[in-house]
Parts: sequence; structure tokens; C-alpha cells
Amino acid sequence: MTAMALRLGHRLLRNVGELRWEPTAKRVSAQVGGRTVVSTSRARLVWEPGRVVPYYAVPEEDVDADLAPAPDFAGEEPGFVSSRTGPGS
Amino acid sequence: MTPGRFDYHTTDGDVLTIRAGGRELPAAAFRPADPDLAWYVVLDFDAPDAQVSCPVGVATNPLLGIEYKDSSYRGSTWTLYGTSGSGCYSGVSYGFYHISRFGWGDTISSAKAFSGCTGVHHEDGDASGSTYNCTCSSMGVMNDETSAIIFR
Repeated sequence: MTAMALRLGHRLLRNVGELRWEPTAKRVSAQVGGRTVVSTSRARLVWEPGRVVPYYAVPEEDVDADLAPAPDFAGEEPGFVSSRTGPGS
Repeated sequence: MTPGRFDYHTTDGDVLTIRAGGRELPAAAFRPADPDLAWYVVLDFDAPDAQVSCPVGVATNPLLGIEYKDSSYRGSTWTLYGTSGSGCYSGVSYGFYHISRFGWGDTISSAKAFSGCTGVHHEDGDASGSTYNCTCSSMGVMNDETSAIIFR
């Protein structure tokens, strides 16, 4: 029997229904209001269940900002874009 | 970035608002409940006004801090880098023991620290005297008093 090489992307998709993460060898930085709120070399890539594109996750201790519970958007349909203070506003 | 609303998540956790620099970004972060991601927050990188990711290896001279001559991060700036390493992670520290040599003695009024560092501002040279830990928009009684800075 001939052994078949494994294409890694197929293995990753097999677990698409699970929460997945992987360290990333990148420095991740972000600014808000002209202030650097994140600068870390300990970021992780996180794929939420059912998603194929990852987010960056960073250690909470590397976030130089207040993190507070967000307003409750319950009842809105997925895909709704809520107004918020953001880039260009 | 996954298209769609960032506060719609497919795993358990808390949706968070980021407040910084006078700005409020509702639902711009997410704290997963999964224990493998404890102490991590997921970021909506569409929300900040600037963001970057780059290979860590590029940062052979880690950015340690930016010093400002005026309060509220204004006026002339002095950007400080480390000679090696990737910053203050794992207990690494960097010292600038006589900043008057660079023309910055007794002139700093605000500062930012980066790369996991805390900028400890000392009143006297050789990192002695009173100290003020600063990423801060004003330095209180230490305004225009810094003579040495240790990033640790």
C-alpha cells in the first residue's frame, strides 16, 4: 500500500467545527486614538468554530486599555453592522 | 478577518468594549471562555485606527519607548530602542543611565513604553533618586526631572 502525504490544510478543515489556535511568530500592534494599546510578540491566531479565517488574540496583560463589558446586541441578526466610533469617525 | 459583525461569535465568551485615548470601541474585543485561551482577548482589527503585524525577527532593535518634551504626548520626541532582543519579556531590561548625554536631561513631560516594558523614570543619574513608572500623559512632580530611564 502506498502511503499518501497529508495536505495540512485538509486536516485543519476537518476540525473546522472546533475552536482552534496557533502561536504566531509576529509582533502585533494596534493604536486607538493615537495611543498604542497593543504591542506584543505573544499573539495567537484563533479560529472560532465554523470559521476558516483567524483572528488575532493577544494576552490581556499586553492590552493597555480599559476592557469593559460591551452593550448587549442580543436580538440583532448576524451580519448587522452596528454604529460605533471607529476608523475615520 | 472574518466578515460580519464582530460581536457575533461562535464560541462562548464575553464581548468587550475597548476604551483608550478618549475613544470607545464597543464590541471590539472578545474574551473566550475556553481555558486554553485564558488571559487572552481576541481583537477586532477593523476597530483600531492603526494596526500592524510583522515578523518578530525584524525587530532586532526593539522599540522601548517614546519620550515627549511636553505633556499629553506633544512636543519634540525621542524614540528609544534596545540594542538587541525583543523587549522586556522574560525579565529583560534596558538602561539609559545618563540621558543628559543625549540632550534630554530634565526635559521629559510625558512618555510611552512598548515591547512589554515599563518605563521607570529616575530623578537622578545612574538610575537613582525618586522614580515614576510611566506610560503617562503627564508626570506630576517628576515633570522635567528625569535623568535616567530603565525599561524593564
